[in-house]
Amino acid sequence: MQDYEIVRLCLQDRTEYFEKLVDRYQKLVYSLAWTYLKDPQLAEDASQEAFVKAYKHLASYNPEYKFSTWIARITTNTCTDLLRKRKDLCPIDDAFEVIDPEDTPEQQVIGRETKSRLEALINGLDPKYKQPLMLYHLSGMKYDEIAEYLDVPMSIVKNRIYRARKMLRQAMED
Amino acid sequence: MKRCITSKDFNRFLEDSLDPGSLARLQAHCRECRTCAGKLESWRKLKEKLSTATSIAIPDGFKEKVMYRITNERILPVRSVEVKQGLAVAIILTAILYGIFRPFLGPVLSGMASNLLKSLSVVLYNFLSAIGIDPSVLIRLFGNIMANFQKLLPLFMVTTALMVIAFILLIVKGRTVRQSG
Repeated sequence: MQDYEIVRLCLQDRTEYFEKLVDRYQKLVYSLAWTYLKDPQLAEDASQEAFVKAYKHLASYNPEYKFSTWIARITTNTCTDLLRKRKDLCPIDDAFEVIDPEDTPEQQVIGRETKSRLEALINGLDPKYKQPLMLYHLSGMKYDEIAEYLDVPMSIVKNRIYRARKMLRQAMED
Repeated sequence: MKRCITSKDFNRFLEDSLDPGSLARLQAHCRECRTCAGKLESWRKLKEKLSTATSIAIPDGFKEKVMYRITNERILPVRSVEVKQGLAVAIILTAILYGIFRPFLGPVLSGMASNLLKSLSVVLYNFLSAIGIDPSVLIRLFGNIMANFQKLLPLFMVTTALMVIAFILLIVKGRTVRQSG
């Protein structure tokens, strides 16, 4: 079932269908919130808030655009508001810093060495490469969704992700 | 030896977007070409590391919490584009009409504002008297302010009008809530 069909059903008081949208986009919303807030509890609160806002404003959703980019924007705005209230706004360049919130102590020990280098390399990338790369790998967005979200042509998104990977591979080989 | 694998093909391999034929060719070539086999290995490592370094787990019961929260919410009606356009047209027309008829409307409007102000003053005077405050003190204060800062008069009028509107809205909203409850 397409997103716009689910939205239409929700607008007809079939609220239970909203669960499908939550199912589809929870990873995107949570990971986006995480990249901005870098705190599991805050990210969860912001993600829930983003879904509630999306639900309340479902009537204003324009099906010409992808639901993913619409909810991604709501999430970004929610996080920005939250950070503004907390007055510890994370600079947008640092927003896509790689940190795994769910590592257990064992995983942290085992994976730290192998991950830390890649994390450092990703964090060292220019934000214009890091952001689409993280949206693709962390948030699970597709090329066209990233293009719509970042408001750049899809060819640029593809190229930046490709170049980011190439830079990472070369840096890892060095 | 066949043509070597390009970085773009390795990139497609990394995101699993190679068609089965191309994938088979890539694997066959890498069995013969050491350079490409090395590159394939490094791309594969990058793929694995990217998937682990960027993995993120959704908190337990997240979906249920969201669904529970929305049970207390309702979908807000959207103000249609036509209403917004109509409002914009009405504002522009009003501004144009006011511009044209300003010489006639000016005195009429200021007279209306003056009467409104007088009525409000009476209400305020009575209200202050009723709660035991001497209105003359406030009136003198207001008179002094107005005498010294005449430019504040329009601001005062606008603020008063907004307060009256807010007051009326509060009464109407309160009545609506009581009716529905």
